[in-house]
Amino acid sequence: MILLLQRLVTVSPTQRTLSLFFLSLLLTALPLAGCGDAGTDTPTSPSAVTPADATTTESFDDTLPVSGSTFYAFSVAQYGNVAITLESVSGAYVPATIMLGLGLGTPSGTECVTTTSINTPAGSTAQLTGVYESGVYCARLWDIGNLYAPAAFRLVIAHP
Amino acid sequence: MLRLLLAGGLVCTLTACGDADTPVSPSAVEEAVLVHDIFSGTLPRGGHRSYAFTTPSSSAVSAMLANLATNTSPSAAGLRVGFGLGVPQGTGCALREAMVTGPALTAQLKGLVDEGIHCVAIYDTGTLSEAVSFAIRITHY
Repeated sequence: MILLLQRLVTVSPTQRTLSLFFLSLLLTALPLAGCGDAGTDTPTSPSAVTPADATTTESFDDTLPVSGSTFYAFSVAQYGNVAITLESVSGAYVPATIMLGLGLGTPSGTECVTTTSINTPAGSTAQLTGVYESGVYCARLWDIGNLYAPAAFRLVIAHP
Repeated sequence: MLRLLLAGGLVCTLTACGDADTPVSPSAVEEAVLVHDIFSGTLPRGGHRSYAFTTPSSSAVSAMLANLATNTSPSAAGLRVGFGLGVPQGTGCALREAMVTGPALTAQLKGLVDEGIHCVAIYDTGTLSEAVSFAIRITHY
């Protein structure tokens, strides 16, 4: 830059004018190169969070009335795997293979508002599984119209 | 001429920097809305009832047992029940604070709760001789 200014003193007025014009463009361009969003960092991908394993098991034993429903609330301590198993259904005039409604949701008012549900018979393998954030949830069981008599049941909920 | 060109360059420089986007107004801050839930029903002798509600953020909560009545005693004079605030657990409400109280026109339970799902419970402490109807007003954000 100093050499350029020294050169300007020795050239003709026309050359000086042209040189100064290009100098002004240079003065404009240099700061522009520094413009921009200084706060923009290189984006980084979010680190993957591994869902915690289920470490707590709760059992819910009760009787489901004809056309009725019931639910059980539980707290998930941290982001992790939740599994709900309708282990058994029994009772007079109640086939062990009877299909019932089984859902998972959140308590609201006096109900359990389910966000996922299936119709399923009892079994030893979890019928509902998923990964959930920490919070309060509920497992809901209901008669989908198959019961002719109250059904004793066992529901097992595994969660972090 | 020299001054003109330098001034021009300076003006170009100054106007070129900065955020070229049109300024935007600050995004609207979501205002917390006060919610009133009414929980009414019948409490059987020896039984309990609970009601779950959600607070989207930390919130002040108050619960008022406004009415208790039986078929034989509509005035509810002398009736007292358990009344508490907690978190849904199992088929009930795991209470974090509780009291034995009768109906009143001011909130019996007041507290601060975190974001999440909470519950209010009413239960017989062993003093009821028959079922009672009740009305509870829960206020929260």
